[in-house]
Amino acid sequence: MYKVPEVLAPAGSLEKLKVSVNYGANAVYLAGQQFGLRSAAENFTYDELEEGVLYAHERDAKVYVVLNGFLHDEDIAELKPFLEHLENIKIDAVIVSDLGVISYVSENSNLEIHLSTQASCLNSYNASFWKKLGVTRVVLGREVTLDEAKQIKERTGLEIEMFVHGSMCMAYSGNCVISNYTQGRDSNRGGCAHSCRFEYSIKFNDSDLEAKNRFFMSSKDLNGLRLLEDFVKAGIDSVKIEGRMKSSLYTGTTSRVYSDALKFYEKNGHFLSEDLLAWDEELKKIVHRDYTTASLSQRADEQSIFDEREVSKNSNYIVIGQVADVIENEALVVSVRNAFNSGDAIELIPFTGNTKKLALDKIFALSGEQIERTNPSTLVKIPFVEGVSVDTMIRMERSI
Amino acid sequence: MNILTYAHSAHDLGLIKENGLSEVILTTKELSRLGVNSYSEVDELASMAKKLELKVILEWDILICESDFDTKVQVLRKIDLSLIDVIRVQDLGVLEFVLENTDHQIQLLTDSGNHNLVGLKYFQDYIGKRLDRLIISSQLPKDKISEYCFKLDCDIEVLGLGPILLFYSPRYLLSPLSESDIDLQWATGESEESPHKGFPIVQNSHGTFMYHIKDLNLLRHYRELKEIGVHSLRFDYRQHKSLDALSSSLDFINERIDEDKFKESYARDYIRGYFNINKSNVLFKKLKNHKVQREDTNYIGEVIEGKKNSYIALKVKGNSKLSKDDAIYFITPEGKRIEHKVNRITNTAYHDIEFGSKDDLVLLDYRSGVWNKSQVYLAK
Repeated sequence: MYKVPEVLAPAGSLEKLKVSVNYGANAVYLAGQQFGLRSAAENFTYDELEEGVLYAHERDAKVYVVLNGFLHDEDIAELKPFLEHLENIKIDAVIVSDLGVISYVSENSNLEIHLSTQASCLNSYNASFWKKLGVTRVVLGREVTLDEAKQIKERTGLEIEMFVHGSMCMAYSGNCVISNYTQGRDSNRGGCAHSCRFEYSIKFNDSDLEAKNRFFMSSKDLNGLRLLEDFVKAGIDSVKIEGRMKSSLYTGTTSRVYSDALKFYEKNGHFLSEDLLAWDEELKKIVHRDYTTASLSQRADEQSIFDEREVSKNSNYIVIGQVADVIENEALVVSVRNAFNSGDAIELIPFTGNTKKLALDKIFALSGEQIERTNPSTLVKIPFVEGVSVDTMIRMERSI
Repeated sequence: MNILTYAHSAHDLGLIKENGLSEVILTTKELSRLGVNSYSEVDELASMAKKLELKVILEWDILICESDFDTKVQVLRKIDLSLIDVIRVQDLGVLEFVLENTDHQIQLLTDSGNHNLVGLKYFQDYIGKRLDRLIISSQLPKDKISEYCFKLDCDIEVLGLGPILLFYSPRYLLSPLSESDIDLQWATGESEESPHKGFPIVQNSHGTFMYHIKDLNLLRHYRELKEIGVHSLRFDYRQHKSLDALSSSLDFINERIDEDKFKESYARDYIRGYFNINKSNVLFKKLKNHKVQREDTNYIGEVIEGKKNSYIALKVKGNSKLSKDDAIYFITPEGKRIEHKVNRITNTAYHDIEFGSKDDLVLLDYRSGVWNKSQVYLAK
């Protein structure tokens, strides 16, 4: 029996941290208000960080804090109080990409350091360089195959983390500065404008050939569910889900699917579960581009290019809300995100186990009167369902 | 100040010598991103360069995955390294290999990031006496270049004239469009979603590279760069048909011709990039609404719903307890502050309660102007 890797899920906000942990993630990664790569994400205040760490630790989940921007001198000058706070609240590690930041963190704290994928660590010589600086884990570049990852682990003795699911950079991470020069936003300090998802027309220099309206730089999304056994056999320590900017439904679904699959393996020593098809289907129900296994088995080829405009048509499901309160034996109070009607068939997604389907025969306003249709950003009551907890997500198939 | 450039042929070497340069960068197809020569050609060029008394730099700037590493090492071993003075590297794995397996001096490309002194100093100390030079990022403004030249004990090189690399992918992105397996393909790209038109794109055996529509040109700042202590200035004409613009570039920095004359000989438009100032993080604060972002001090929670003339539903999130008779205030998503006295608190079953604690969903009396996502604070 091989060691089962941890499931590491994104936490773009405190709410999403709770979703990730509740739905089975063994660890989450998140950012403070500075120093990360997602300036547009809500991110965490000092108090939220503390609350998030307590919440996760009480449920045996770890918290890694990203400091993975390519920081300038003036940014590094502001690091010290943040590092002190991270040490005080006992986070489990920081994820760093910049040599200066790693050097600074090593000298000014006792925090465990993981190397971010942003550093594009692709080979064991490279990993050895970082090991000498005190790095204990490397998040390998998404160009590395699982076979190569195994070799890197064997040759360096470092812990290995690899992406298993989510959006992918087309460029080597950290080696794209399109936003810097076309939008004035430093992509390596949190300002990526996703220029690789734009539509381009390409004219070839040595011929009359012109390819119009193509999305030639856009990558399909990674989905490594069917290769989980290879992750396990390669000795990967942590499987990472991309997506701090993504929805709670995405965070919860991916955490649950990968966690359920690995728990099944831990119990049975294989992935041939009757639920395998159901897990596949669950991952299709979240918004995604077409899926690819990218370079996990062999180098990503042209089949990994997502030559389509960005739309959310790839999911027939929407999150309609989250359980905000439970009035025992009486009602579930739902915080509505997308409108739904009386008579709709909804699905409650428990933290573990099978989805509970419910035909909604009645909806009530909080004040008690029966209503036919809900509105986003309101609270409503639906019939009580045994075993459903606060923060449970609810989804529904889109009506066509 | 030392000027250096790339050579791909004996003719290039002749021009380099003729123009008084003392260094040359040689590239191989297998080890260099835009390399064009075979290793045997590199041997010949290196031999010629030595006869011309040029310092020979071998560039190994590709990034390499684990299983390709040995293949690349074999290429290096085929090159007559006795003709090479310095190896120029970017992948830190390649740095490690070169440090462990050769005696060569090293030039380290730190130009894809490394925008702080702490990191650059670490590289300097780590490589020690074998560090010949650090090539620093084109995103650094002149005050930072000046500071680093002053505070580091090693030579510093910057790109003085040449293309700005925007994107480096290992995937072959042009072949699917051309439906051609030809190794080397050049194209230009433009997008309706960007005001910039005509990005040069090249696909070769190392993947796909996209460049800025304009080159970086710091020639008019030559004296300034010299005065602040830059050791070397690199000119990169690899997207030109020849090295012909080298002499006019040198004439321009030596004030033998004016900029208009220089422009006539230089086939591409150019910019100064971030040389004067780098403010590439100032737009970040506009990427989200900070008014809906909570402040930690006296924080109570967030409004989930404001039901007109009925209630305000509040999720208690902060560490402070919300009690009856408390004075609170709301900060709405528009940034408006609304004061409020808590006269009554109920739970969602409409039972009166004395206080609400963390994670509770409680209802307060309705207050006009308070909407969902308003943040709630205790007034002290």
